[in-house]
Amino acid sequence: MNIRITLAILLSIFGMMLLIIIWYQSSATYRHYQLSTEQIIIDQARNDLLSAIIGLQNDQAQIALIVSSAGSGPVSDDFLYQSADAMRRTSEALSDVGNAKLQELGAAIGRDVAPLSLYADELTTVIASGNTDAILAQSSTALDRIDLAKQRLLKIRQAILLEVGITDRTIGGVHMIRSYIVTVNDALQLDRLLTSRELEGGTFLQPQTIQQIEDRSRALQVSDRVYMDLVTLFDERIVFKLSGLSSFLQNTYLPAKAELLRALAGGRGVGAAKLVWIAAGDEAVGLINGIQTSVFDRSQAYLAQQQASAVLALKSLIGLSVGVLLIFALSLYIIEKHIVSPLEQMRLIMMDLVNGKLEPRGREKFWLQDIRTIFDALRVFRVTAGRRERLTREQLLLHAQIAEAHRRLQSDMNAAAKVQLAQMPPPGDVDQIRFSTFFAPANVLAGDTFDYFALSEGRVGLLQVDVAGHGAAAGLVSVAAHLGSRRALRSLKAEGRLADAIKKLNAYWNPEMTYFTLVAVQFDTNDGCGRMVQAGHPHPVLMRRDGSITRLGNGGLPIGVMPDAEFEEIDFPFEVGDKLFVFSDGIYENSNENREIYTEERFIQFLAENVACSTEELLHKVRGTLDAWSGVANLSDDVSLVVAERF
Amino acid sequence: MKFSQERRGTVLLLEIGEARLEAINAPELRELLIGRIENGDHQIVLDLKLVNFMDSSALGALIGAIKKMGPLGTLALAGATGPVLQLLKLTRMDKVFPLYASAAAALTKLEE
Repeated sequence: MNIRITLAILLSIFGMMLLIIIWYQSSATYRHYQLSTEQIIIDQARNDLLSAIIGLQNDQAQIALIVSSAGSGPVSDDFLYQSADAMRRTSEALSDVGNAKLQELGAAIGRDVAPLSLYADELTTVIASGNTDAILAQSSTALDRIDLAKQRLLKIRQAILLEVGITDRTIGGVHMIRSYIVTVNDALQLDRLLTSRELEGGTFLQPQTIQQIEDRSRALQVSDRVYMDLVTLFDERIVFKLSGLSSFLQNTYLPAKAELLRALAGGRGVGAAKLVWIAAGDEAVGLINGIQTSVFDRSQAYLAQQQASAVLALKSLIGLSVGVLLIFALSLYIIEKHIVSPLEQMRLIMMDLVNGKLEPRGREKFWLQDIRTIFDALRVFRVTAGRRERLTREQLLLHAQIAEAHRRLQSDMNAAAKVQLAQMPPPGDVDQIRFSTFFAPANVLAGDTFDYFALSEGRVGLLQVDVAGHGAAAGLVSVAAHLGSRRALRSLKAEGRLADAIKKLNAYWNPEMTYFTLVAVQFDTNDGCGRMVQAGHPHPVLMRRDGSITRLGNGGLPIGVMPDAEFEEIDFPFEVGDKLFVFSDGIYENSNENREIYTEERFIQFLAENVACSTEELLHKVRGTLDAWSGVANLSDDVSLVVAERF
Repeated sequence: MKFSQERRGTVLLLEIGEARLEAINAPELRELLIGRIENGDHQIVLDLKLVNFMDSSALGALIGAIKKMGPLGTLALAGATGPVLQLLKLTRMDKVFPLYASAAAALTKLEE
């Protein structure tokens, strides 16, 4: 799971929700638009249905009039056809509507169209024939059929109302006015029908008096008032027309009918009164048609306005949705381009840093301040890491160089140490003297060295040198001191003084070089004696065959301190079984862990205690003693011991 | 290396505060003495009464200093005992340095 996937999931969910909300809103708005469009069609259908009903009512009266005044009255040849036409239009309009119930009602209306047309054909044919009896018979049947058809249409009208309902106040007003028209027209046409029949028969089936007509007129007036108040809420102009109709019925139609009744009662002027009455009835029909047209115009205009506002709402919603989706897409783009993508880059740079890839990257421009800051910090990290890496590399290189130099030095030192060691003879016999040695340098190169060699005429030379300090410089001086001392001893004639040879060595020793201490011994195996010069070196110890121990010499200046120094020559006996111990100060100047010196006294004491030991055993003990005191491995100075034993 | 110094007229008294003079502090001793000599001190008393061990490296530093001093100056050693005195005797340093039992004795002698 990474940031990109998480954001993708979250934003996808968000986007989906957004789309769902937009879809719901759009479909609701679209449904509203569809409904408003349907409302227009339904309103047309209702208007057509109203026309059909009113037409049928009118046709009934018309047929009655034709029959009553056969041939004398105005004959309309398209009655019933208009109603059938209106019903067909209603049926077609309803079949286009999405509502199944309305479609069914439309189909029911449609089924009545063909029979009605058929009656119309039959009636027209009969009326055209002029046969009064046939007309009478046919009209009676037609009136009944029309009545049935009318009743069915009224029921369907009721069913449509139940199905569609009153969507708002205006539509309610429209419905009420249409109901009013149907009722008024029904009353009017029924009145005309009945009156026609009465005229036809010459007798009044319903005796009507002027008084009755006036009562009816008043009743109409009262019921009108109730309607008017309601309709005022809807449209004042239509109210004006409705009250026009109402007053026409009260002031013109009913008085005309009263006049006709009076004429009939008086038996005079019936024809003229009848014409006035028919004309008044026709005018009332015209007024009713006018009201119907006005209401239809009004409702169509209103529904068109509703539809227009639904279209506007739909357009606004589409515009808004497109805007929201665009902003959402822009947000996605910004998040991807300016946040997620830089984060991914950051991750890669960090991984590179972790993996030690420190090559510089191109400088990129970032839009967001925070991202810029982080990238700057990363750049600083990279530069710092690069610098650190370079330093480490240089250090490693330097270290390798140092190691190499050290290795070379070490190898040089080892080579030099080999040379130095080669100078020192192995233990062994020279003439009748056995030499045993113990040598432990503190470093690779030692400041200590020793040598023994045969001289002429039974003489044997021994020298031991200790150059102050140790390491390379002391080692080199030691080699020089060794060579110088060896030459001095070798050049010494049998009758020559050893002290003079050493004095000469001292005099010629380069004052720039470190001083050194020296013990030079010359054994004379023929005479059983020895002589020695001590130049700042520890006192040699003579161990006689009888076990007595003597510390030889009185000290002396080291070589290289004073060019004109004099040296003392010490003679000593050296017979079979005698041993001479020559050693450097390292053997007794070692410190133990309490920084306590071993001391010369202790060493001589040690020798005295081990007089009975063989030389080999003694050397072994020396090592043990050194180890016990400070550890041979921890020597701070070179240790050398040469034991010369006369045999 | 610990030490203290005191001037008595033309004499510089240096008292070594170390128990051991050896390879590890011999270069410091050499620098101290050579430095004073180069500064123009030609009469120096080195009090060794606190020193109980001296090796050949330290002795080398003393010899280096006396060589630097030349024949006209004096580098006197005072208060040497035990192994230090032993070393000085072994190497006959009495021929190179004036040796005194104490700093006071050395000062008295030098101030004469």
